[in-house]
Amino acid sequence: MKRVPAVFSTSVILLGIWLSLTLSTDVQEIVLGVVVSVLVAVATHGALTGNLFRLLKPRKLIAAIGYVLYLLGQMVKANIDVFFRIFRPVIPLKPGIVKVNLRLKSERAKVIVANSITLTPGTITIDIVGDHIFVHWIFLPDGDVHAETQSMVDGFAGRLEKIFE
Amino acid sequence: MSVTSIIAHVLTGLGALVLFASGLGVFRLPDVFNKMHAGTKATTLGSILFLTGLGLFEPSWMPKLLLVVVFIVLTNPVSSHALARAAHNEPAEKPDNLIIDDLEESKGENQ
Repeated sequence: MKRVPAVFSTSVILLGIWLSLTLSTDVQEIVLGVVVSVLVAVATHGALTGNLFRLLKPRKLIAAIGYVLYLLGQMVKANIDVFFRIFRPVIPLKPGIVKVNLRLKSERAKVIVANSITLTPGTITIDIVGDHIFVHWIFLPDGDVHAETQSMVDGFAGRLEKIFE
Repeated sequence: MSVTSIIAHVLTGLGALVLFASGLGVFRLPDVFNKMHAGTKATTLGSILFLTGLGLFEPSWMPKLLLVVVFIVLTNPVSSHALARAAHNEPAEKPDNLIIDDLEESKGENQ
């Protein structure tokens, strides 16, 4: 019975995907979509989304929207950065791989942090081992490299902690 | 020309420009990790801009295109991580221009 909320959230998400793919109000299509969504969600124990009902608190929803906006802003910055770097006659490079701490309980949150770092200016995630994350910089920041990287990672991890814990 | 149409033209144009920069970046940057910077960031935003612009031209395509955008945002970084880790494990592919490489050091600790 513990799995019911997760299975339900997964079937709702799957049904949403089905409806936006078919774009049809035909009863036959919708019934088929409902049946297949529920079957897949039950078979996978709701592993796709987990329990989404925990997010349905105003505080967490606001935090989630804030995170998406923050990420979009960072992505635009990342692209401006890449854009101007690529068109220079000599591309400024100072690459390096830095190891920093990432203390998050939820595996899902770790994946989101890793993906977000890949989409933000000058950094991609190479690997996560236990509580550590390895970040590749295209141009290492000045000063203490580890402290700079840690504050960048904490910017994401701190925001996600409010959503997931 | 309506306002929507103008916004759509601007978005598709910007998207195409960003995708071009991404392609050029993959060509110009020297090694596998740096190429990956251009290959993930720029293609993700390029696709978002281009597909949103396309959705404004044909509003009935919008839900499907937004779904494509969500899948690209979710999967593009994951493929980049897989490639980056594989490249780091393969000595022949690993660039020698890294100023610090904490991953190599921690590999030594684990063994």
